[in-house]
Amino acid sequence: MSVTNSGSGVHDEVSEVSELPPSHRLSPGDWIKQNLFNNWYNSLITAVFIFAIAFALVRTLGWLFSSDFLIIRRNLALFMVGQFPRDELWRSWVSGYLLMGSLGIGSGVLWRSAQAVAEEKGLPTEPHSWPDLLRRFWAIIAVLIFFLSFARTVPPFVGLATVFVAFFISRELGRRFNPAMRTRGLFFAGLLGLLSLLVLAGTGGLGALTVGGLFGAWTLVEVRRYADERGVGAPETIGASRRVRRWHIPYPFKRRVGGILASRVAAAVVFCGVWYGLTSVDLGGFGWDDWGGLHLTLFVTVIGISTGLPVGILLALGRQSDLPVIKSASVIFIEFVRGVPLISLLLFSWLMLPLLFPIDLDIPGPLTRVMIVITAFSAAYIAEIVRGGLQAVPRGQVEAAQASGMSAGKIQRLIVLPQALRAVIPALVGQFISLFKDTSLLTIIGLLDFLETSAVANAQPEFLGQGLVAVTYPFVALGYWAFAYTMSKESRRVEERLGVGVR
Amino acid sequence: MLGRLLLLVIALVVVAAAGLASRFIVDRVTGRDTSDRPPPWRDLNVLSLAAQVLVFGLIVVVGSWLWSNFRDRTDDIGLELTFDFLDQPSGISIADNPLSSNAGIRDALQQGVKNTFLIILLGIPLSVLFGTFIGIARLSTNWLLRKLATGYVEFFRNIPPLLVIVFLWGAVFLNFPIGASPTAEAAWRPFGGWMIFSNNRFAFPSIVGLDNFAAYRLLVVGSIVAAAGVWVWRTRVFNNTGAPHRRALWSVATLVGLCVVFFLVLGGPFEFSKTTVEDRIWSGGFRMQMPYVAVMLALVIYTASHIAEIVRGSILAVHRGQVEASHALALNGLQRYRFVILPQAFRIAFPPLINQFLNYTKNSSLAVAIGFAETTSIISNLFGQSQPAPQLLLILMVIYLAFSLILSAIGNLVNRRLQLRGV
Amino acid sequence: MNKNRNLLRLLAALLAIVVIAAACGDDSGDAAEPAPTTTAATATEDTTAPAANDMAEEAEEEGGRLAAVVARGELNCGVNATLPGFGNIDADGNNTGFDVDFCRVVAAAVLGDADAVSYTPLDSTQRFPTLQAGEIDVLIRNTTWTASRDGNEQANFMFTTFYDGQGFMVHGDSSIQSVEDMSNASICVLQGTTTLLNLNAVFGDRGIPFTAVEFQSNDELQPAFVAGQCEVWTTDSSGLAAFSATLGIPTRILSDIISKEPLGPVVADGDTEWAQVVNWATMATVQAEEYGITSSNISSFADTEDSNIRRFLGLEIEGEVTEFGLGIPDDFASQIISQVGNYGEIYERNLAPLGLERERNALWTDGGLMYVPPFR
Repeated sequence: MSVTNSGSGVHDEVSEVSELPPSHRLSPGDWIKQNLFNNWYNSLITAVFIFAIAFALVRTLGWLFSSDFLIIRRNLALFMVGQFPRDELWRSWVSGYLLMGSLGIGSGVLWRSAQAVAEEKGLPTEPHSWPDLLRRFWAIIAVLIFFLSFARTVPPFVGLATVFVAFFISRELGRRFNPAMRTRGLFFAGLLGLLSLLVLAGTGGLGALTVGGLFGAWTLVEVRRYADERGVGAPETIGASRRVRRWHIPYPFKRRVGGILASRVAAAVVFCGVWYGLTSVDLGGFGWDDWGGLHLTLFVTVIGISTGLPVGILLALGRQSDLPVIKSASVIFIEFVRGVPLISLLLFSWLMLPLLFPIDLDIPGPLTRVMIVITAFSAAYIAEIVRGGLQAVPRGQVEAAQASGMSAGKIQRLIVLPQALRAVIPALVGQFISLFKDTSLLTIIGLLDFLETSAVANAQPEFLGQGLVAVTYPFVALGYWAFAYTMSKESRRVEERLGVGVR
Repeated sequence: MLGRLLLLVIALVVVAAAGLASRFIVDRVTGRDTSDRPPPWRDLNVLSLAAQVLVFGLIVVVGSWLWSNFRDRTDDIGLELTFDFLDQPSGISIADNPLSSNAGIRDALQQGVKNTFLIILLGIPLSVLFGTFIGIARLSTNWLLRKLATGYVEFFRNIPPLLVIVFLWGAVFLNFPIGASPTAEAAWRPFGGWMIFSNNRFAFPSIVGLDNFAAYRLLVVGSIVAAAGVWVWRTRVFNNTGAPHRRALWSVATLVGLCVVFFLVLGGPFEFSKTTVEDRIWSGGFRMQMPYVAVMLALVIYTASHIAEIVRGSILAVHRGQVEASHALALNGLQRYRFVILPQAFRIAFPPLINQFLNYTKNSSLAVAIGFAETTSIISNLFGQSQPAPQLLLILMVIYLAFSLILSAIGNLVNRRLQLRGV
Repeated sequence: MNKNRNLLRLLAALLAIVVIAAACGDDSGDAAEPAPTTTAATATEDTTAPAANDMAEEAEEEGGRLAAVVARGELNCGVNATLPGFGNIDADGNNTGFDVDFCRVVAAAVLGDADAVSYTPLDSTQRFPTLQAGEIDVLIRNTTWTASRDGNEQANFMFTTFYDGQGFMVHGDSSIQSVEDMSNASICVLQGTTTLLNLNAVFGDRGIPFTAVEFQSNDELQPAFVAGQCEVWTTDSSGLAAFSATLGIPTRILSDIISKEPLGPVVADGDTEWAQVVNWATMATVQAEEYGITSSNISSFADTEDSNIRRFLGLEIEGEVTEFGLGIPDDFASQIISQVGNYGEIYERNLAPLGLERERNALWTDGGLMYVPPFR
């Protein structure tokens, strides 16, 4: 069908047909009178603030034109990627393309499937328009371009332009995905994201493991589906033995075992194959101890949330559990981590974690240890968020599922968690933002994150003692702000779309 | 680790076997009919028991593994796991604090906790006040004010508090006039020198009691009692006659009037103290270290942006009927906020506000970045002197946990009083 | 009733687990002590999947830190990131400085590649805990050699690469002329340093009250001094000179020197072999300067007749290379000199541009303190 790119047309039609109340336009004079000088104290406030704004504007402009931005021009790469080897910068760019591809395809596929679902239910569909997307992400785009304006060579311009193009192409691709292939599309997007990590960090250790795991999981799902469709294993005869009835063995037991076994074996084979294949090729790459700057800040956040989420869900389930041991263990962990400042946890990672590794093992690098702590930290906060979602799931849902004979695990996996997680997406984004801001604390334990690059640049003999923090701090603040602001806008958008709080 | 896991499995099997066997024996001895009982692997009692035992066993195994690693490593580097070091001289000298660097670590830690408490004490009321104003401004009918407040909230909510602190300290307060000189002659002294602003210290006037200050204090307490009496009297008048009570006005007037009379009678029992700087010694008045002001104000600015959102949300959450009713009663804007909206809004806002207070407390640890000697800073200083890290970390975490627990306990207590009962 | 019974059962089971675990825990502890090989075996079994660690592990078992570094192919070096001349990060993200060059010296000696270093930037409060935990192989971060650090802090100090003393710096227009004028002054100082301890001790002894303004790193201290939050800045006088040369404001360094501050590489206690390697690699730079061998003229020494130099550079003498038995390649000195340079070159490259004279740090032949034992 032609639905894919006729979005804006639909929108226009709708607005033409609907009967909005006639808008009453005010003349500028009336508007000013109504909104700025409608009574004596508002007039006073307006006057005072106009004066203050004018003053601030003059001072800011004066500062902008009198300051020397050489420190930023010279250190742009330091701000962006820290100490990442400069002759390997292509890795950052390639990983940027892959990441953008992943984001593009992922968002395109999600949009497409949401569209399909909406059509099916006859709900109003959300049109797709690039200007709209631009408007939603203007802060990040503007700040990236602003950063780029300090570049002294051509490659960054080309690089950034191609990164945008990569996103454009992949999103268009994603939008053309068959909605039925949603899972596969998302899987592909996730794979691209992991590949971007592989390009940066090489195949050693975790990278290959996660890619292998992803392929394994995919195989598992696909083979299971195939087995279910084809009905692997002969169907059991109707007259089940007394033994089966006595021990509550479900009827299609043999069939399911066949499918499960086959899928697991296949998954294990695929996992081992991919893992072995990847580790045998050396992509080079740099362990993440070489990462720095804005790049480090972003990655620590993303990884922290993605590793914290599963742990957090488990903790939330544990806290809701009826079993005293599991419940109390979860409560103690969550309340402890939430009760202490992140600095103390980071100091823990710096001073205490090394002492917890077996004595005959090399201690992992600082960033690895920080990631362990950040995972625990975000898991504890996510657990509380998810708990809120779990409590919001109506009790009747669980009871209905129990009545239909589902196992406890299935009830959680298929009934409770999907509803709970959907309800807390905005709060999760909020947690993402706050973790993004919290990563600035890495400077306190001396990691070269975005904030610390400012200090390092100011310590270079060339820029020492000139009070240039007044230049670098606003620069850094702008970077933090753009990402956090966009995320919070997005979370509010999701919140409105989900209708949380409206019901 | 592997050995321990193996032991766990063996232990689990033994326990399970023992449990099942005992169940079997008990069943046999008591001769109970078990035909309707599900098999062990479908019996909820058994399953929940098994799950808990398994989790507990895993925790024990992992915990003991970590502990033995920890002991190996600490033995290797010769770290002693006692708290004796707390009595050693700290080697820390805290600015504007008489504590000697030869005093024990215990005493230095006490001063650190005191300083953390000072950041909280002044900062939390300020941020509530400021946040409430911004929150109300976001709903103002004045377009400019509304947009400014929105801009403020959107900006400060989305940058890290640490950045606010280092910016305020490094790019604002450090550029104040120099205060570290024999008489701080360069410092800015508005209000006839009653206040001093410099990049070293801030100073404000304070009250110093003279000889008969004790008597005055007693009389002030008496005036407060009298003012309370006036309050009760006006309320009664209002209840009986319906005449406007104006009890706030009446009682404040009583209080102020009495205080002034006593002041005159006693011939000035106290005087305002002005800070003077001589020979690099700041004396008199109420003096604050610049880093203290920087941390406190930065956290107020940051926290206020969050509190503003809470306040705004709570005001919007007040039932529309209430606002409409207040319009119908012809209350003006101030009255509407004072008597109808804010009391109800704060009831809604209080639980999330407690959360913000907790965040504020935890964020106060960021003072370490600009060298204000609060708990985290003192402890990090001790790390630098190679005092034992595990014990110090434990102390650090326990201190903040205590702060968090106390604060949330107080918050919950207040919240319980605040919420409507029987609804 | 039913619930109570369940709880009882739970408690009983947990108790049983604890008892068994405790008993087994003791067993495993006893078993581990007489036969450490068994634990090693289980450890390696445990981590079959990530293969990378195994080699390092085995190396550590066999030959301590030296073998571990060789197996890792990289030297972990703790450095300063915010002290001009000694340790900095430049715009290209490279660590540079006097101390950093000595990390490169050690890497060149041990691994034959001066670039095979992984730098860990440390502030003054972090350095000893990090060294003790074994996370870094060597700490080269303007660290002062003191008895209590050698004793209490399990540190092992190597050949002093820089002889320093604690000095004071004030703004150019300050009225302070000497320590005696500093009564009640605000003094900027770094936490966790000998500087701070000296300050407390010396001012305490002389009965001079002062206000310490303490910071964790130079990032914050330096702007605080420039802006005048504190009147005086005290640290090693080399650091003061470095900052004075780069700050770009008029400053004055007082003539008072209140302590001796010998700075050099530090390793953790308990591994003599590794300590010797670091020590001799460091000293080789001084010996090279004494022989007049630099990175540019080293090739001309390939056919020198001087047997001392031949021995030093690991060249054959009558068909035989002298083995020092340090456990590192015999040509480590030539690797150091060709890749990093001799002591004089390192000094010229990093410290001379800041206006620091050699003085005490000149060769003993020039009246300085740089004197190394013979390489034979």
